Amino acid sequence: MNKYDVIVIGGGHNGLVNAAYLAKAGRKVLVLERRHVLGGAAVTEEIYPGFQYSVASYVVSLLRPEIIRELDLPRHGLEILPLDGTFTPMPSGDHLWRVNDHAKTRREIARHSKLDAEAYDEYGKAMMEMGRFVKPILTMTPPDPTSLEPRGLMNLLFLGRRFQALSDQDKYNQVQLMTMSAVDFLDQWFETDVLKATMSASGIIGTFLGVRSPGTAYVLLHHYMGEIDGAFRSWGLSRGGTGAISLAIADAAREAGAEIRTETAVSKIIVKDGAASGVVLANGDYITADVVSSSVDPNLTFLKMVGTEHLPSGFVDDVKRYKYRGSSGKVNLALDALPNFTAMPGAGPHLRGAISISPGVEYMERAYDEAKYGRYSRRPYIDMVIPSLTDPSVAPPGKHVMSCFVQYAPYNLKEGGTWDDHREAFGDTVINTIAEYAPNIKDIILHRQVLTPLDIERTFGLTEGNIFQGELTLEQLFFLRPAPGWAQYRTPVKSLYMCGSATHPGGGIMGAPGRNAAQKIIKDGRR
Amino acid sequence: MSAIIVIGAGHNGMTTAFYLAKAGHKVTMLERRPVVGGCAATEEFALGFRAPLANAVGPLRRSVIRDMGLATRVQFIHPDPRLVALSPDGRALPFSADIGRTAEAIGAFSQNDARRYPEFCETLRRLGVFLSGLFDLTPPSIDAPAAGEMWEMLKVGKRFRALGRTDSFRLLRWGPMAAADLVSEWFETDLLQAAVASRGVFGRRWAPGPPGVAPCCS
Repeated sequence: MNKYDVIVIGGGHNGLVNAAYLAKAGRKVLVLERRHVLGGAAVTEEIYPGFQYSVASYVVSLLRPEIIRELDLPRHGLEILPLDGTFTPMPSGDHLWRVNDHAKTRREIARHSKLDAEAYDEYGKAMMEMGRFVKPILTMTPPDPTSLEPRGLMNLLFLGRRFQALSDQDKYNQVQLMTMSAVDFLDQWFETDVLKATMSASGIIGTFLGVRSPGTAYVLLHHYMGEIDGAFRSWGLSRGGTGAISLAIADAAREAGAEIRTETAVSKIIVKDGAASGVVLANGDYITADVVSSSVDPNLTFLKMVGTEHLPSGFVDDVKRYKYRGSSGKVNLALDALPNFTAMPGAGPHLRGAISISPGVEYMERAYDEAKYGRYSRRPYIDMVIPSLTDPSVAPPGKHVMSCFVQYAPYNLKEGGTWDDHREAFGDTVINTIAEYAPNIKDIILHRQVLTPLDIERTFGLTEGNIFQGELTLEQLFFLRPAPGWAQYRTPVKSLYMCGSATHPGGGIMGAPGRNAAQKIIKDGRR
Repeated sequence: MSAIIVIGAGHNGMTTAFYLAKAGHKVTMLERRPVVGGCAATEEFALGFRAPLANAVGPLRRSVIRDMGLATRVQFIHPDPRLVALSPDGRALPFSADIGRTAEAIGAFSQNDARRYPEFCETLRRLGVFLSGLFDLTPPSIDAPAAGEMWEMLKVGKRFRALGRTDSFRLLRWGPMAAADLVSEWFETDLLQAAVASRGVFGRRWAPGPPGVAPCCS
C-alpha cells in the first residue's frame, strides 16, 4: 500500500512539475511538502486579512512555454496577465519609463540620449539572438565535458554548430556575455546612467555580486529570456498571485494521478546498498519508493537527508563548496491607497509595471559595497510591483498589495546580533528609501511583512536564503550545477535524483529543472 | 624579406623585432622615450638608486629566453623567500621557493593550511602546465577559424582530456571564479588567503572579491 514508484521531496513549482510529468508517464507518484501550502517560493498567502501576498517570488516570465502547453496549465486555472514596463524614478525628479510599446520607449530614451535610443534597438535585437542561442540549452541535460559518452559529445557538437551559425558580432557578444560584468557590457551600448543602472539590476538578482562584478552579464541574459506567449522579455503576473501557478501545476499533477501531501516533512532519505529506497518522515513514518526525486537544495538533500556517510568524500566537498550566499530580502505591503511618486505624480499606468529604485550605476555599486562587509544596504536596490492594479482579486476594493524585492541583504550579517534583531530596522530602511521617491508611502501602509534572508531560509527551506537554490554564477552553471560531474539530475546515490533549481538551468519560475529531471528518470527507468 | 617598423620598444615590441629580424626582415624599432624597455626598463630614479619603475619581473616565456639566448646575457636572480606577507599583528609569513619550507612557515598559523599548501601548489602547477601551453598560441579567430587553428584547438582539447576528470573540472570551475572564493576553499588563514589571492589581482582593476580573477593565481 505504502509503496510508490517515485517520491518527490518538496512541493515547490519544480517538484510539482517533476511529479506531473512522472504521473503523466504512468508512474505512481507521491509529493511531500513540509509546509501547509504548496508552491515553495512560488506561493500566495493571506498574511493580512483580505490581502493576498505573493510572499516570495512575485513575477513570472521564465516559465517554459512547453510546460504550459504540455501540462495544459490554462485549463488548470493558470492565467498570466501582462506586466507592462519598468518605471525608474530619479532623485532629480526626472524618471525613465520603459514600456512594451517600442516606439514610446524609444521616444522616452531619446529624451535622455538620442544615441541610446538608437542603440536600444540594436541591443534588443542582439539580446534576442543571444536568447535564441541559449534557449535550447535550457531544455538540454548538460553534457559531461570530461567523458566521451556519445550523447554528451553530440550535445557539445550541437552547441558548437549553433555557435558557428551565429553572426560574427553575435559570437563576440556571446563570449562577452559569458564573462563580462553587466555594467561593462552595457557601457558598450549606452551612455545614460539611469538606463544602465536599471538594466544592470537584472544582472545581480539572486547573486552576491555587484553590477560591476564579472559574470553578471550572463545573469542579464538569464532574465532576458523570459517568454510569455512567445515574446521575449515580457514579464507577467499570474491571476491570484504567484501561488496560482503552483496550484495549477499541482492540479495537473493530481489529474495525472499524483498524490500530494502537505504538512509532511521528510527528515531522512533511506539509502540501502548505495541506492535510495524511500524516505523517513519527521513523525517517524517510513514510505518506500523505487525512486526518490528531491526538489530541495543540495545542502538539505545530501548533508541533512542522505548523510555524508552514504556519499563519496569528493562529492561531499563539492556539495559543501556550492555557494548559496543569499543576498536579498522581501517586503510585502498592504496599502490603503496608491503610492504617489514625485517624479510622476498620480495613479497613472506607470504604476502598473515594475517600479525600480535603481537611479544610477554608482548607487547600485554602493549598495553592494555595504553587503560585501556584512551590512544590509542603507540605500538598497528595490524592485516593486503593485499586482492589485492588474489583478484586483488580491486586495479588497480600492486597496492594494505591493511587493518589494530588496537587494542587498547579506545572509551573513556582521552588524552585531542576528537578522532577528535587525528585521524591523531593515524594513524601515526599505520604507525610508521608497519614501524618498514616494513621500506618502509611510501614511498608506496597513500592514508590512518583512522577509530577511534568514526568514527565507526558515520559511522556504532555501539554504542561506538564496532564492535560486544557489548562485547563478558561471562556476555553478550548466555542467557544473550543482556539482562537477553531477549535472545530469542523477546523484552518487542510485535512484536518487535532483529536480530543483539547484540543477541546470537554475532558478526562477521556469520549471525546466523539474521537467528535464522527469525525462531523465523516465529514460533511466526503461533500462 | 620586407621592411617592418615596430612601434614601441617595450619588451613585447623588442621580442617581435627579434623574431622578425631573425627571420631575415629589415626591422626598425621606434621608441618615444630615451631608454628602451617600456614598462620593463630599469632607471636611476634617484641619484645612485636604480629600479624597474613599472614592472616586476613576470613569467618570461622559457621559449623566448632560449631563442634569444638570454641566459648568457642576463643574470636571473631568484630571491628567496620570494614573498613575505605581513600581518598587522606583527607576524610574518615568508613564501620560499621550497614548498616544504613554506608549508612549515604556514604551520605556525594553521596546521590544516600547512597540510593543504603542497597539494595546492602541485594542483596549480599541473593546471599551469596546461594553461602555459595556451600562452604560446595565437588565439584562433572565433568567427572563421583557419584549418591550422582548428588543429591547434584540437590539440588543446586532447591535452584538456589528458588532465583527467578532477583537474579538468577544477579548470572549468576555477576559470570564472573569484580569487577570494578559490583560496577560501583551500585555506582558513586570512593572511595566507590574502597573499595567495593577491597574486590573482596584480595589475587588475578588481579587488579579490569579484569573479574571473582566479586564473591569474598560478
